[in-house]
Amino acid sequence: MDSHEQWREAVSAYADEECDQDERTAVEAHLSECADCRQWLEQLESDREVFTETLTGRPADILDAVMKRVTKMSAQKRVAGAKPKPAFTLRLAELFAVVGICAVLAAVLFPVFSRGRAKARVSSCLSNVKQVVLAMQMYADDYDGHLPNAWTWTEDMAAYLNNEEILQCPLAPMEPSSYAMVKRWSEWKLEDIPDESKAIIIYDAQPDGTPAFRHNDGDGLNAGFADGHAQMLSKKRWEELGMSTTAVTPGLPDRNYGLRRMLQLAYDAAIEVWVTDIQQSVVSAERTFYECGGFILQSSLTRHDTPGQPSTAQIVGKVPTPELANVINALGALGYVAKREIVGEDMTDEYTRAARAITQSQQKTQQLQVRRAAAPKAKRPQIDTELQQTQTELGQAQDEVFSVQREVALSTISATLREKMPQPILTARGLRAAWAGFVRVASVLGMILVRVLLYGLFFVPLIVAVVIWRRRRSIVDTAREGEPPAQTEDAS
Amino acid sequence: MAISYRDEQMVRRTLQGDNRAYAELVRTHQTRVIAAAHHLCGDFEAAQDIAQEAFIQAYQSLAKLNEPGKFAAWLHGIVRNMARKHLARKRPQELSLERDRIPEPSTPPTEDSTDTILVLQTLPLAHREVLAARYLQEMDYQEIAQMLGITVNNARVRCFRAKQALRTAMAGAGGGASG
Repeated sequence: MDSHEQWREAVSAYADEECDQDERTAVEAHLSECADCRQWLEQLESDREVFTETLTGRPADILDAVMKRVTKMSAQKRVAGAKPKPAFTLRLAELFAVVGICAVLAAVLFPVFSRGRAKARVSSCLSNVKQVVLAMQMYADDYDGHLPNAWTWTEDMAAYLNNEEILQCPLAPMEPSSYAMVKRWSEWKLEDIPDESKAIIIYDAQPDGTPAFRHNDGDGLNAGFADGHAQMLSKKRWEELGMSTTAVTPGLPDRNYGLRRMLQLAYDAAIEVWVTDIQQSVVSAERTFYECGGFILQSSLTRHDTPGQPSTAQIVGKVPTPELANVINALGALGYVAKREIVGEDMTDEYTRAARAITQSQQKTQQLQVRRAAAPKAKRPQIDTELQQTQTELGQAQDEVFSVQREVALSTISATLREKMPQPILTARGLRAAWAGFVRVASVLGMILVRVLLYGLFFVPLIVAVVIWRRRRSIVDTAREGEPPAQTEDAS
Repeated sequence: MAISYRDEQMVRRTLQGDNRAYAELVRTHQTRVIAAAHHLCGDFEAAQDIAQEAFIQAYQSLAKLNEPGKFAAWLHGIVRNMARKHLARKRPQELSLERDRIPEPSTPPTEDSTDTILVLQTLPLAHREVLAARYLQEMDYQEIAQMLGITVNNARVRCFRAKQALRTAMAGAGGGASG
């Protein structure tokens, strides 16, 4: 601190008590030496006194005026900020504004989401159809090229569908499936189907088999083709492919009353089956009976040349109980449908008569053989003729017994069926349907819950952003109103 | 000026709705606030109006005061802003005339204080602000620096310059202690 001016500045700070310890010591030392600076200090003190006294000397009282206005303001409750306002509260109007913005956003975004969802459903349905068609091809590979039965395909294919959900269109889940198989191709050999790429096997349908155009605003139906591809068809295209939009192919009688059920209920079962269209199948069905240690009681084939009415074969057979499971599998694999009840009669008399006739014939044969051995050569031809006649009688009697046995077996089975098949109230199918309904309701509730959570998550950042924005604005306001603005270097 | 715990208490009570506490604040500070306003704008009547408005505005924005203990410095900031606004309005018509008139020594002062005030008005606004802050509101260098948006060292230099200017003006008017 060499210059005079610097000492004066230091003295000024000293007078304002703004010096640190070292500077104060230095200034005090300097003051004791320098008369000029001592005088400067005195002048500063005197100027300050004059200044303060001059300016504060005039009496003035604005207290009343200020307080009058303050009281008035607080009385009218228009005191903005007289009470501290918590930073994290939204006023009602602001809350409404936020909710309004959210609603607008939601209104804008929901249609977009729902359009996306609709598209997703179409593709998910199409993928279901495609998977079912592929499963049918696998089925055909295992069953000598034959497709499943069109009326029972959902059950026949059960082993080929890991997930039963693929039988349901997401838009219209229904029992047993949202899809139907084209009846015309029931049990057809895949390779026999002409023009595979245009032959529809499976399609979106109502439970009665009517085609259902669920997609693309009522003009789209997903269909699977014999060559394994799947695509969405318009009504026009559907008709171009030779399909009817209204016709429903009638189904066979109640499927509940099926082969498996009959076989499960009869211990030593006679079985009556229906075979459609293919004579080959009758042979294979008969073979199945024999292979399982049973026998055929009756077998007949009815041919129908009228279109729309399938030719049918009827086989009635008997199998031993331990073989039931094998028969079930083998016949099920061939796609047979069981037929209704079998009417029987009491054949005891006929049986007894026939059995007696057999016994008599056998006894007569034995006697004739004994006589023949004892008789001279000349008499033998006569005895041979008698013997031949007796053999014929024996054959007839055996045939009669056979026929009686058949009738008895049929009656037994018929009676068993009547006894053991009351119409069940609580069926497996009913339980399945109830379970499916429950799952559907639960999934809808779950979806609602998930949506509420998701939308909530979506709104949370928005609300937080608004709150932060408000808080920041309030801080900026405070800085602007409450504190003086920074002054730049001006006329000094 | 250190933090005033009394002011802090009064501010808090005012925020809780006690208007008597605010009256206490007005009573404590009104003289100096009027003086500062007078010093800044040079017109006693206007100074009273400015002080009134400053207290009202302070009351309205009290909740936004972050450090209630520094009420006085904050209030002085408001007064300073208002005085500047007042001067800005006044400048085009009157101030230019006054400026010409005031320095004339030919006008004989009627009273000592009026005389001194006229002398003070000859100082530039920047000096007047620093003097008002330092002598009337008793703000320390740090607060002055904060108010003006400059460094503490700079504030110290400005105080010195303002005091020098005051001394020169006083000496010129012959009203102060002679050097």
